[in-house]
Amino acid sequence: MDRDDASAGHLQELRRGTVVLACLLQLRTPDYGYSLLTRLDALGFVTDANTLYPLLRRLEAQGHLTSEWNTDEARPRKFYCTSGAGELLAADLVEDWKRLDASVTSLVRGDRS
Amino acid sequence: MTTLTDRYVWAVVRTAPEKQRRELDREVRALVTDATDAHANAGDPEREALLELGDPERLAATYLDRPLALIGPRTYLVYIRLLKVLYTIVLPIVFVANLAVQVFVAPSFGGALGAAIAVSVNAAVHLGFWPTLLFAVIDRLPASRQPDFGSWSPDRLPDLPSRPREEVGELIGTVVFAVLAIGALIWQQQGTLFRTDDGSGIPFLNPSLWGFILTWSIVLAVAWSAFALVVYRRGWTTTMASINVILNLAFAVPAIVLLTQRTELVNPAFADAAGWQLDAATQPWVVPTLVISSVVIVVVCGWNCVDGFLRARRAARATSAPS
Repeated sequence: MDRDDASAGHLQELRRGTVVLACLLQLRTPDYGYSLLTRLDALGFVTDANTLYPLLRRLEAQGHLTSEWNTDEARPRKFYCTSGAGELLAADLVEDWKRLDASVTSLVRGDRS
Repeated sequence: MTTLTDRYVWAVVRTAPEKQRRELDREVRALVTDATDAHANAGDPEREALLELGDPERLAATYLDRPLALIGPRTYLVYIRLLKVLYTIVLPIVFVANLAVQVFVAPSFGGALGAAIAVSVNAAVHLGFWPTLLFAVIDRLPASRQPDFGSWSPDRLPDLPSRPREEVGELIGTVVFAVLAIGALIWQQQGTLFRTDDGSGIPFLNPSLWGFILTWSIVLAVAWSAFALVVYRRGWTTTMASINVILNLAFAVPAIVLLTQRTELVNPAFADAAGWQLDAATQPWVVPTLVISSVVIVVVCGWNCVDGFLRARRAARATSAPS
């Protein structure tokens, strides 16, 4: 993709808030940090470890995620899972996302007519 | 054997509070090993993983919600305003006050200036350091304990500058000239150019006139500065122009009297030390010099008086024009 720095910045700005939503939805199946990072990456949510891990901790502190150390495997890993409160938050965010999508769509249409 | 991972984890957790360390240690370690696995194909997976995770102190700060700025946006504007006041008002006062004291204490004017500059540099460092420390601490207080600097409101908007910049320059010029004139007067009294054999200085002006000249000059300097300030704030009016005439007379009349009536304006001891011949009877240039000086004073002060009235008229026209 050939974009200048300014549009890259706007794009990043636009996507920033979506990472929270993506985490909450993705973590309905428990997962650990690094795996989540690669899965989000594969889905097109560009984030880095430095952003994602503090975000997970913050969401956990707010009660939107629960965590548990899984020691079954060779290496202990901290698994995160979306809590009930997290589900509610995700529903709210999805609702808003749809509203935004509708608004943008109507704006785009209005632009063309 | 310590690995890069051990050192990295330690670098992250060492600044964390004791209670959080264990948890953070486990978490960061898992993070690093996972990242290392992800870079399995690289030449040095561990190194690549750490490069991806970046500066450990930055990671620690984001984990622990620590600010990555000394003074954050919440207090920055108050901080900068304070520094501006300290450096544009307090520091010059420190310098002038020190200079005024040192002039009496130090053996020479150069020494006084040096001492005042040294004190001012020292003061500048302190004026920068302590507020910065204070605000860095305030910025780290929990929100509930943040001092209230008052929220902004439209009432705080500055007025549009009502006077052109030249008038600010005139005000500053007058005050600076008054300070310099008093400084020069005090300096010559210290007699740093010539000294008697016992080492005491020889003043340039006749010591018998010293009491009068000093009092007169200080009164004039204060009066001129105050007048310049009032003119700056209120602008020129006919009343101000009349006061201007009085101030000019207060300077010109005694100055001319001193020049023409008292030929011993210059300290005879100073003239001797400098090798000057000031006897009006034998030196033909003395009288013309005094006359020319007097004429210059009359012309300059006269023009200044007229200029005051001209400005008052211009100001009156400017205010009546828009209505």
